[in-house]
Amino acid sequence: MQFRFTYVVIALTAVLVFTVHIRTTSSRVFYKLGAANIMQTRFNQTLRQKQLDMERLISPAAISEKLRKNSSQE
Amino acid sequence: MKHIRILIIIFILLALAMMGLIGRCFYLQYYKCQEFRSQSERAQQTIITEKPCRGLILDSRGRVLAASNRVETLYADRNIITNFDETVTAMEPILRTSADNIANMINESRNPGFIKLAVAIDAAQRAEFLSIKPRPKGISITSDFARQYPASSLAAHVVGFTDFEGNGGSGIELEYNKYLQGKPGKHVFYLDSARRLVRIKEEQSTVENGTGLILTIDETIQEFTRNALYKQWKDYQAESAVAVVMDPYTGAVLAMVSLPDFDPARVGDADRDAWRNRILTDPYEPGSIFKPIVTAIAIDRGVITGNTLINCESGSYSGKGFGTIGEYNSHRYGVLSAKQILVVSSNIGMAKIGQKMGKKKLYDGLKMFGIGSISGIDLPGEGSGVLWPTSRWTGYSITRIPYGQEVSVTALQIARAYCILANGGRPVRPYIVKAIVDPNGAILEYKKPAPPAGQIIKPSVAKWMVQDALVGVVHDEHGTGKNAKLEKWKVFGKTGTANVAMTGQKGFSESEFVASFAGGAPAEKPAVIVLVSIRKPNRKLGKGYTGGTVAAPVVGTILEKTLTYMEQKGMIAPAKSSHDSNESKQQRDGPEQTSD
Repeated sequence: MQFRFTYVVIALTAVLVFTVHIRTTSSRVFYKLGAANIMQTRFNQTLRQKQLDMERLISPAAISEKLRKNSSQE
Repeated sequence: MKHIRILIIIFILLALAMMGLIGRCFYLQYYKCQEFRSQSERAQQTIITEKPCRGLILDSRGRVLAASNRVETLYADRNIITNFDETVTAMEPILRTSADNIANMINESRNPGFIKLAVAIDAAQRAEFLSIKPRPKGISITSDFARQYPASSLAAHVVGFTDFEGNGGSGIELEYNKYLQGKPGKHVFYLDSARRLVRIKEEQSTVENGTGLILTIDETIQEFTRNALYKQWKDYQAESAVAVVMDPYTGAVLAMVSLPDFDPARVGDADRDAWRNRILTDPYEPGSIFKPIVTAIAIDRGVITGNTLINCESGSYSGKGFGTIGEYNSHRYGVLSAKQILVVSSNIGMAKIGQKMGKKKLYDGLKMFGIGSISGIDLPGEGSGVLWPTSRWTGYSITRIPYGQEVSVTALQIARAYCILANGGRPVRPYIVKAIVDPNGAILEYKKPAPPAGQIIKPSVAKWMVQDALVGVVHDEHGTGKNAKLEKWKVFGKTGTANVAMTGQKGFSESEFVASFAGGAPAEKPAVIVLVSIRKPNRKLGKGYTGGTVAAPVVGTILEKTLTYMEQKGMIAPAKSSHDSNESKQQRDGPEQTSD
């Protein structure tokens, strides 16, 4: 009888600890996912900005301007 | 006994009070339940709106003309800053400027609640700011979309700009705002007692980013056009200048430049007068570039033939009801054919063609060419110009309209009319958006409009006009458009030098002109139509002011560069050989000769 009681108490405690662990892990993973998503968005923005900067550098207007400057220096 | 009575009274009063409370509870729980529940929910929840990313605008080859990207801005709120000296010193390494400069920025700003210290900060600046412990009070980072225009002012009037709320303010940005703006997403969150987000309750709507647009504009051709026009505009110290390049078969606008222009990213710095796309909004009297349109109508309606001889009265033609007509530069022409009238640009010859046609044929023909009506291009602010109904014509009208006076047109209307001539007499509808694409680049909808039905003039008349008469304007010894001539391609076109109408009084200025040239190449199968109009070139410079001197060289440059580019890209067949061998053959194709 005493053994059964001990078993039930240990089992319940284990379930409780495991539940808390799962909830903590879930929160941690959720936070990590959120942080990773934000990082990914930032990288995307940085990449997009670099693309736009490159577009600015290789646009026909910019190339004409560079050619004009080069020819005036020569 | 007395005590019992008091107790009974107290009991009754308590019972009444209890009944009152029960009634009040019932009222609150039953009748006011919904109101209080919603009040409580409002206090526990917040709606967060997620802004959509505005759509891309690309040129015909996929180069970015406008795009939005999220940028982070470091800003200060002067009202919250507690320790001013420490704050500006802490910000010194992040902003890479002196503490004095930062202090000045904060103190001199007109908007103390939102002082932009650095726009579009990079990752390093952000990390540096977040590493400051404790975080300075009154300094924060905010993130929002910023509209960027990598081509700067190159296609400013076509692309347009957005206002401070991110809505289209002009050009394509305004016309296609509903496609570009997207739809915001709305999310409902639960809050804790400190109004911090706890978890999402529901997603009312999902954010939808704006769709992108592919234009018919080719950035390279746009650059050729702007470069050539800008140089001439500056060299001649002109008031304004416009240029349009179009595909004569489809009506696609390949380039559109209006000067002065502006940088769409800094539109506030530009003069408001520069915001206007003069190609669409500013009607002007076209002058001699109008002559081929009237001549084509006259030939098509059987009033004259290409070789009809007309007496040009040795430079002075007068009569009852239409005053006296002279030639430009006091030229004295005798008997000229219709082709020669165009080549030397005779006003008297055109006046006589107008008289032969009569009001109705002239008016109907011009209406068919789209004069006096908007073209329907997908850009905002298009004007229709003015072509008065014949009931309002005076005795002068029938002799002045044929050489481009008493009528006002927009540059786009003239470009479209020349497209009709180059397209075998078939109408075209100008358009500027080729396709609508989703954020991933997949095409959602092609926007090319169906060409209007019908035939404005006979193909044989259009062919004669382009390949014989207008080629003569550029290639004949006495042609007024010789400055547009090219070695590799046969150019056709017509010059125009129109007096500017005086403001506030009748008549025309004798010192201010609009110099124009409208034409295209190659004459055998026109690939592009170009119109250039330069308003009020400075005569005092002594360099000239006519269409042949000021506008024709610009058209020549644009055509040469554009056709070479199109040839290299395989958009047109390579030029075979010198055009001169074909000239005699085409001149033989002219309609039979009659006399005036």
